Formats: sequence, structure tokens, C-alpha cells
Amino acid sequence: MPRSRKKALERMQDDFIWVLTHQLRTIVTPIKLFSDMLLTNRAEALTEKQRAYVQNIHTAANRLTEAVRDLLNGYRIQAGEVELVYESTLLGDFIKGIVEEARRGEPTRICTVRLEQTQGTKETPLTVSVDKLLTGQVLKALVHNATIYSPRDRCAIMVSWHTDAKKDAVVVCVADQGVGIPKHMQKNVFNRLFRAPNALKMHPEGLGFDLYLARLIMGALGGDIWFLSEPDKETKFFISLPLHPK
Amino acid sequence: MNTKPLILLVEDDRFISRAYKDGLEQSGFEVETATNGVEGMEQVRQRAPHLILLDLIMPEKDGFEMLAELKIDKDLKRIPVIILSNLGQSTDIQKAKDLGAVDYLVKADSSMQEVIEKVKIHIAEHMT
Repeated sequence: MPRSRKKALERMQDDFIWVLTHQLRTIVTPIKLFSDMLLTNRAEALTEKQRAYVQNIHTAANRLTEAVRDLLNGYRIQAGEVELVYESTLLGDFIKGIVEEARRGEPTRICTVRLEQTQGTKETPLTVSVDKLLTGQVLKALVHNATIYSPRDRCAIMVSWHTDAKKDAVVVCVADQGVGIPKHMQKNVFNRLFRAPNALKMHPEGLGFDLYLARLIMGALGGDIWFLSEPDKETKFFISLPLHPK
Repeated sequence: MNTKPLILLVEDDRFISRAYKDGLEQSGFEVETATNGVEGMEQVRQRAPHLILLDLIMPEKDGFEMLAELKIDKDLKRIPVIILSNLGQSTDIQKAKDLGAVDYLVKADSSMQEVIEKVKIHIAEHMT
């Protein structure tokens, strides 16, 4: 294909995504705003059932908003349009914030979460240069998965981190004692829209997009993502972030 | 202050406009609405609002054009303008800030409460 034609096609695709994102957001915005007002307006008391219905509408609208944002981010990363913004960050504090954010997304699930720097002493916390937005998105997805794929009565998550001199990277591990990923399906985990049958059963509303996007993001960051999983026992997801990003 | 602060809301989507109008009124603001930049400019001249909430993609005259027009007017340029748009690309945000917007909120990512808080902050800053 001639170069100019390829450029024109890319341009059309960009415009299409731009319009689509704007239109979807415009449609979902009033659903969010009006349901938000119904939930916070104490003057007009709703019955318990009405309130629950409105809460569902509000949650669904929020999920749609997040899906649009994730799809747009995924598209931008794939197209190489994302500018990386590195900030010197206290890793422990950053991870703590992300975990709290992820936990707020599933308020009905009770989980114990342990955070640990498995290197040196607590008095010398690791400071690394990270793109907080993109790294945060990946970690949030991993903590969210660890939460929803753990049995409701036994949710224990451990997030740990250390530097790996050989990789010249910092490695973060999110470990759960959940349902695990069936062995014969482990090769498909990062494919887009893939859902393992046990995952589908536990969390039918998932899209199968988070881990696909996570791998794209880790590629863009010059890092990596991988996992170890024993079905019905545990799953450990790892990400590595280069200590000296290019 | 004896009178309620006046907000001009320039927004072409009637559902979104209605939601922000009601939310702001419940929080003690007076709200005037316009559905595009042409109407918006007319309202600014007639009503002299304390703050403008401005959408970007609109028919007739869009938000970028209206913002540019406000900022070259020696009387109107003092009115703080918050962009309230569903465009979220950094280039759009930068362009609006370069043109003189005091803040930029993506509608789909902001709750009613966040919008109201921003309006309060910028009105308070502007009054001092």
C-alpha cells in the first residue's frame, strides 16, 4: 500500500475513534448525572428497592465509562500514541494507593491485603521512576482480578515488590489464594476477550480486556508481565518495570 | 453575598444541560443556559455571569471559538471559564488552557459533586 494511502487510512481510523469516544461519553454522561442526583438527593426519599435499582443504573453507567476509557487507552497504546510520563515515586505508597482504589471498586468483598517490600529494611523504602497512570492501571487490574477470583469467604491478597539486578528492573507480585487459571488455558490469558470458564462463572460481567491491555501497557513501558497459577490454590501475577526506562 | 452567583452553562446536549442546571441550582447557584457559542456570547453580554461552564463540541460556534472570543474582549476576559467536555485528549486540554480556561473537566469522568466543587473554588478565587 502506498505510504500516503496508509497515512490517510490511519487518519480516518483516528477520527473514527475520536468521534466514537466523544459520542459514547455524551450518551452515558446524563445517565451518570441523573442517577447520581437521585442517590445523593435526600429530599426525595427513595424506597430501598428503588434506591437499589438506581444504584445499579449508576454502577452500569460507570462501568460503561470505564470500558470506553480502557478501549481508548488500548487503541492509543497500540497505535503508539501514548506519551509516557515518568515520576520519581515511593513504590510502597504508590502501591498502597492503587490497592485502596481497586478495593473501593468491590466494596462488598472482604479481603485481607498484605503489602510488603521483600528486600532491605522497611526503613529504606524503594523509590523508582514510574509512569503512574499506566502502571497504576495494570496494578489495579491485577488487584481487582485477585479480589474477584478469590472465594468470598477466603480472600487473602499479598502484594510484594523487590528489585531484580539481573533484569535491571523492579518486580511487583500480586498473589491470591483464588480459583487459579486452568492449566490448558494458561497460554490464552493475555489474548483479547479471553475468559476462562471458571472466571466466567465467578464474574460473568467481565470483558476479557484488562489483561490484554495490561500486556500492551507493559510492552509500552519496556517491562513485562507473567504469571504462575495452580488451579484451586493460588495465582501470582508479576510485572517488571525497568529501573532505567528509556 | 446577597444574590446568588450566576453561572452560564453553554451545552448543546439537552439532557446534560438539564442535569447540571438542576444540580447547580440545588447547590445555591442561579443558572442561565445557552446551546451554542453564538447564544452563549449573547448571554454573556446580557447577563454578565460570575463563571462560565463551556462545552467544546457544539453547532454554530464551538467552545474553542467562544473561549477565544471571550479572551480578546477586555471586559469579558476576566470571567473564569471552566471547560466541561467529553474530549479528553491532552492536545484538546492544552489548547483550551492555552486559550485561557481556568480548568478542564471531562464530563463522563466527573461526578456532579466534583463539578460543583470546582465551580465553588473558581468563583471564590475570582471574588478575592
